[in-house]
Amino acid sequence: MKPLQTQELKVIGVKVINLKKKFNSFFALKGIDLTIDKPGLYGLIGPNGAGKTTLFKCITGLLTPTEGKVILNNTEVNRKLLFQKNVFGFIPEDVGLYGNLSARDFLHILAGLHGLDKAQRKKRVQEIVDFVGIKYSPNKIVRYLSTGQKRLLLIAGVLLHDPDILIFDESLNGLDPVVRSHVSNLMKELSKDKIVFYSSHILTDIWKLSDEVFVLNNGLLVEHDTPLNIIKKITKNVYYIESDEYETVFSYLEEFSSIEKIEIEGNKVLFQIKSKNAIDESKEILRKVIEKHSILSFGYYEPDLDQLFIKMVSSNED
Amino acid sequence: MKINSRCVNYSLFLKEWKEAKRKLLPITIGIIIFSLFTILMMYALPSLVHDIPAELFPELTPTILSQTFFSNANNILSIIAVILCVDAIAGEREKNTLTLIKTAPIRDSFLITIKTIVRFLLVAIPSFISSLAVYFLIMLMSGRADFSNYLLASVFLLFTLFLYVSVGILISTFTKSQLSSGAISVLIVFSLTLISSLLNQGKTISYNFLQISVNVLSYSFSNIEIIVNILLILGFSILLLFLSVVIISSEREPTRK
Ligand SMILES: Nc1ncnc2c1ncn2[C@@H]1O[C@H](COP(=O)(O)OP(=O)(O)OP(=O)(O)O)[C@@H](O)[C@H]1O
Ligand SMILES: [Mg+2]
Repeated sequence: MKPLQTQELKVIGVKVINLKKKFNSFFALKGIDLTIDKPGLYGLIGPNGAGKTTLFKCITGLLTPTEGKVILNNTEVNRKLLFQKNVFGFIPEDVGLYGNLSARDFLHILAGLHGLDKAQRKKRVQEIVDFVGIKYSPNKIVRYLSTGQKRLLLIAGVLLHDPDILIFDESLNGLDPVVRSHVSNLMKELSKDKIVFYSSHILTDIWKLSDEVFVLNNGLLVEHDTPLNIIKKITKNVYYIESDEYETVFSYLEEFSSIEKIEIEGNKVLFQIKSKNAIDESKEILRKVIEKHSILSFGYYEPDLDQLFIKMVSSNED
Repeated sequence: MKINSRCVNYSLFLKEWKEAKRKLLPITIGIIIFSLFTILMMYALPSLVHDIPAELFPELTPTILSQTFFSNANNILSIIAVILCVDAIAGEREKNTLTLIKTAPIRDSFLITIKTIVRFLLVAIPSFISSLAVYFLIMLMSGRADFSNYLLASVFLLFTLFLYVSVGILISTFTKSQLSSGAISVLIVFSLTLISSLLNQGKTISYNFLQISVNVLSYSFSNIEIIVNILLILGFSILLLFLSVVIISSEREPTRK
């Protein structure tokens, strides 16, 4: 997809500074700082009620922050600045559509609402429809579209004005695997020259797609890194031994001074090794265990993403 | 990219009009039927009520018939006008479509103006057509009627409807659902109509702008009085619309349901 205008040297970025949002007496955001300064795919995860939607609404100016500020491409977010509304494209999690219009009219009207004139509009709508891969008839009435078809229409809708920053709140939810991977590919493609900041509860997507992941919990940013680093940080030097006698293995392992943490997950005993030379140490431990117990398997532990998620948000609860 | 604000406003108008257009025909038919009914009712009344001797019913002159129509229209069309406004902002909030507008480069003042104009057209066109239809019915039933005065009353009716649309728009900007917007609007309009009917006697007649379309048929207004009435109506409307703009642009979470 071609940009609407030749790109000059422009600054692309989202900067959130000490953002707080209070609803009545409850702080939904308790001081968020984050900086995104180059195109890419940025994932936002966190449990229900963590404040993801609230954060997105503050970034797009739909909510006025209680404290702190948001800067998009070098200008502070201000609802009165009309040009700023074309800097971003936002798909909220529960957005409604103009149900009585046809898909074509809907896109034309959205394009017009963002300031494209008639001549630009026709070309642009066709271009975006092709890019997004909308296959159904443009005469279909929006109200009768399926969830997936509506989602594609919305994605097309926010691309019309060629925004630099795309914000998708749970836009992958409710899609079948084929459409989901199609949308993921679109997002990947868009992230080449745009910032795509999205939230999802489908962790495999977040982990596979994102260049960086932000973890929000209880209104605070608790983690920010590449997916790989986050996994490493949490599961560094963790090994597992699978055994039918996992309980005795567990108590046996407790005696090793080089083992920092032990946990049971199913019939696996997970343990984290403190020493610098963890691989050799793990072999040594394995050798000793095998002498006394029968085991089914052994290996470097790669966590189940859901488990990882639960670990991340629970370690910050206290 | 340069934003073409003419396109923005035109597209908003187009969107509003496409949605309103679907309602135009049913509303027009409904209002015409209602209007003609008010006149025919006057003729049917003596034969429906048997206890009262026919001589006690007033003679159905064109003026009496026109007055009947305009006072009924005043009461009913004002309610229809505000009901048509509930979807303006409250409805978009309820259906979660306000986000699409609030993330587009639309000035709040234009948002309110365009929504007002479309709803005014939606009630004004059927009302004007109906008043013409009623005029022909009156001509048919009772011979000649004074057209210039009747036309003046019809135009005044449109002015008052504009005021009522402004009331509806204001209420729609601060309510969260169409139901509450409708309930509050009807209550307020009902009270306004009641108060203005009570005030419609003695000295207050000349500036009772909510009843002016009825009064203009029986009371001869000076030009100054007419201008003052028009200014009062427009002034209040603009004030209400201005308030709506202030409310919607100062809300901390405009899209909240
Ligand atoms: N308008 C509001 N008034 C009061 N409380 C609100 C409002 N909006 C959000 N909250 C509260 O703020 C917190 C954060 O909500 P938010 O919608 O941002 O969560 P989320 O991370 O998007 O959750 P989910 O994954 O379920 O979508 C919640 O506790 C919610 O109840
Ligand atoms: Mg959410």
